[in-house]
Amino acid sequence: MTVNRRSFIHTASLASLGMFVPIGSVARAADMYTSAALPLDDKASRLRELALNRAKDLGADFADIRFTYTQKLMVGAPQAMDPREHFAVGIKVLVKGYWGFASSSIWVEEQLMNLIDLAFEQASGNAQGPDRYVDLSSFNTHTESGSWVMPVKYDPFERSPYEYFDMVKGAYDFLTKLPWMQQVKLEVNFNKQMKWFGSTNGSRQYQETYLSWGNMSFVKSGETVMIETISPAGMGYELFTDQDLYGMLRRGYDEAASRNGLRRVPLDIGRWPVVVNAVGVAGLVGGTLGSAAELDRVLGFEANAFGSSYINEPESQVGSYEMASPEIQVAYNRDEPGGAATRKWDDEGVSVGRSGTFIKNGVLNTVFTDREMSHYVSDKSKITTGSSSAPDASYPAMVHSANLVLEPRKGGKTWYDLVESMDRGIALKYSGFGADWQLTTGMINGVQAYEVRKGKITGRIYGMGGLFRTSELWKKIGEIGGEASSIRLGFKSTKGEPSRDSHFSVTAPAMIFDEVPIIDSNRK
Amino acid sequence: MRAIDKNSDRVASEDELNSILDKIMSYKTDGGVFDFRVSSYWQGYTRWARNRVGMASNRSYYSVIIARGESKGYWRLCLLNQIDDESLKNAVKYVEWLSKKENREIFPQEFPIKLPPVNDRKANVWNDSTAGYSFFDSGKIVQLTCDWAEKDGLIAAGYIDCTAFSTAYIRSNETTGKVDRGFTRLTRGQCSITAREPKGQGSGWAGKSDIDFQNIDEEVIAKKSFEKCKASLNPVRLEPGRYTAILEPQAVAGLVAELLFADRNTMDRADAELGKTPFSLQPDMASGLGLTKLGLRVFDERISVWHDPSDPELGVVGYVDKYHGMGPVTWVQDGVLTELAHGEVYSVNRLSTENNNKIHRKSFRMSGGTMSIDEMIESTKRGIVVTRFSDAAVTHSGSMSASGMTRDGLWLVENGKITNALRNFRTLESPFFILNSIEELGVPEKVFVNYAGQEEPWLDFGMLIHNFAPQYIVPSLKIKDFSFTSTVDAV
Repeated sequence: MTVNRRSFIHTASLASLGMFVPIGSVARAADMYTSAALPLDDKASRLRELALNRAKDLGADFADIRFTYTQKLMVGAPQAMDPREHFAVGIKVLVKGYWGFASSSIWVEEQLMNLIDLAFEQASGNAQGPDRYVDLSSFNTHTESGSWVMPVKYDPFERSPYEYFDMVKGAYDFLTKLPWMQQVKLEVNFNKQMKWFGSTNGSRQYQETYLSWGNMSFVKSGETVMIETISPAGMGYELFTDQDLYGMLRRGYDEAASRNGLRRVPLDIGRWPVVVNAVGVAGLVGGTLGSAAELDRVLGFEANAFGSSYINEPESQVGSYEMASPEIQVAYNRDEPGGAATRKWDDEGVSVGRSGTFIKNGVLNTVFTDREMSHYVSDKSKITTGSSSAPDASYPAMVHSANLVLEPRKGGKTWYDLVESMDRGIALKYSGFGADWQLTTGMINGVQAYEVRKGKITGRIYGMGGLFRTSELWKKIGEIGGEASSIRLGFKSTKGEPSRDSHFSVTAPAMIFDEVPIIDSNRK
Repeated sequence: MRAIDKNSDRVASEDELNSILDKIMSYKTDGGVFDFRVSSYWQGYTRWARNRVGMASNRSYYSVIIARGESKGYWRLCLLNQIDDESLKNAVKYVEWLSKKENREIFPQEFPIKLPPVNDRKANVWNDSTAGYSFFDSGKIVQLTCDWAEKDGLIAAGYIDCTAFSTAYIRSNETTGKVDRGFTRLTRGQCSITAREPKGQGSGWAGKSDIDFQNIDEEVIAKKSFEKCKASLNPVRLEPGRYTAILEPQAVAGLVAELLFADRNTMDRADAELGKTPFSLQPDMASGLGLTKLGLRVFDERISVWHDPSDPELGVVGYVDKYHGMGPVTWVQDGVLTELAHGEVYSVNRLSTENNNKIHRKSFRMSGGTMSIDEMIESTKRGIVVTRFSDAAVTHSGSMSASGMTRDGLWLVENGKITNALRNFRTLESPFFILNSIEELGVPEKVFVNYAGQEEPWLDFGMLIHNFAPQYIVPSLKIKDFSFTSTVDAV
């Protein structure tokens, strides 16, 4: 079946989607979206039924459909405001055990019928091979219907965009008047997504989610200062208003200035304890533990894309595989207020449930899965469903990690306390890491690294690379920081072909990792 | 020859896009500087793993950009992905309203309003077979490769993608007082396959991308990945150190292309003058007028690097829009740095010339030699053959030292012969070191570039189409004293 574009354009031209709403002023950010006033709910709901009926008539074993309408707003300093909107509809059909998917930006009936035919064509082409087993029982459960709106304190699209502009412009003026200021970056971002989901098993859902994040950073005397706590979160404007951003910027500036006289010291290669701040630890938790437990990676479905995992036998490893030191406890959830992966239903319409234990006393306790892959693990107590996610309806969903929380030590130390507790080693204020395609080995890059002697920062180190085997890194824990050092960070997880993003949060404290092999990555 | 789907209108034609633009024009109620653009995009793909097809997909999108120019070079704009009358009307009204009512200059798409002349070259970037690729037929081919993998006792995962894109614009031209129209379209196809031994003892990969999918043979790619996988079984551990490295073209692309020539920031002239790139010679942060290495020999004299929109194999989009240059550029000639990238603003302000843009393109061609990989192996006493690198990242911007990992096939060469498969290494090396430590050069060939998932060009006002889905044509290289720093457990 093919799409006749000419006839489609003609039809689309005749479609009346709504009336233009005159805007007296940009009192609400929502007024900047020309389609915001359209009757999207009626339209999506009507088209959803037409599409699912058509899929059933054509003989689909299963089908689901998603409509997403996304508003995006970026406001930056000194002068930037970028409102965008994005429509998508995507339908997924199962024919003789094979999947087909088709998506479009256009929400009109004729296009939708064409999409279903295209999805069938895709699935039928693949079904020319031998039978492929898909456990349909997992698709006939989870038949919830309803609506859910992510609770936020301040809907960012209900306020004037100039409020955000004034905020970043004020911060810009404040920072650029300070001496020796470089590379000031200030921007705030807001996303609001409305999603209508339906499937042939009877689910009908409406879900509204928010994602907000910002970038507030500068370089002072060679030191990068960044507000980490405005990383992606399932929040509204309160992500920015409920924090003392000016105070944080000022303290960051003063702290960088205080280290201005630090001498550059040579890097001593060898094995050293390394204090990593909460940002760095959270990155390692998400990238080396959370991603490793995504069942598509575990089973090799990502082998030609972003890689597999050091976990490779989930049936036997869940409940017995020692991923980390017994001191390490990691919980997962998809219901944490403000979590970047917080939802009521995932992108297959499955209820995401509540929280649970991901790593218990260092032992793997579950793996994350979507509906289809769940049948690869017979003991269903070992899997966590509701992990299917896509950035919008234009992409089929994939397995992604839940929000993760690494338990801090009660009343434990801050990053500064951990530095003071160390006789000799390295302290990382900012760091990144890269891991191999199976997440077995990697290297921590000390973006902002310091030499520590007798509990004091004594010099600045350049080019520090900390090699690690994931299993060794998490088993050689020097000390876990306390609640005061723990913060929540939002991360973007990218995987798949074509690659697509999803977000999740990791809450983690600062930590000391022992005996990290240090190399000089700047060596010529 | 694969059958071409009868449906060749997966993206909108020039006439269809122009009809939408005409509608937008009819909704315009005032004069002034304007720029309207409509794009149409299609992506089809099949993905498989564990020797079974997982998902086949068909994605089809429109994008509309409605922009109105204001004083001081600012633009009021609206981006949407709907093409119905009401949505288009709303968008035009919105932008006009914004221009009249909004006096705060916070929509700073700062592009020069004065337009340079347009040089409308026709480049070879479109292919009907790619735009019409039949994903129904591909199901059979994929199944065939999966059957072969099973017979060989391997597990295969792969991906086939075809993408087509068309875009048209209409805009006012302040210089001529007339209205300009333009249209361009492109296609890209890619196939890659990873074959693994079921217990993770070996891995092989092969892939290719091209404008014309008929130049991509899935069966050849499958067989190559299987051969590499089987040859990589039972790897031995070699001590880290400096070894002669024979880099296959895909490995050269991973370090030299991705980090150096395809990186816009690294190739930028203004950034070099500010001391931000390895091509800076004597930076001057205060004035931004520091010295660069232009005119100096920076690489082995056998190395030249260039792109040309008339190059039928390379497939660089010739005409883009008023903001981007179109002509051929030679970045490196016989090892000498001859150009660094700059746009129209730089040309006018710094060079006092107009229409002399040297716009960075990710796509490029590199000179090479005549040797085959086998001949390089024969002439090597002790060295390592590298299939490709993974996750290469710059660790020091001044020297461009980069850390990466070998993957999907690494072999020890002793006395002119491959003697063992090797465990993978982490490497630490700079493209500058590589291009100044060349012992031998192979025949340049087009390598795989994974464009699927790149930033979507239809979403950007500046139109990223000129850098969407780049193509690299690079040789294999034999490099002396390449640094393999530590072993990697991943297979």
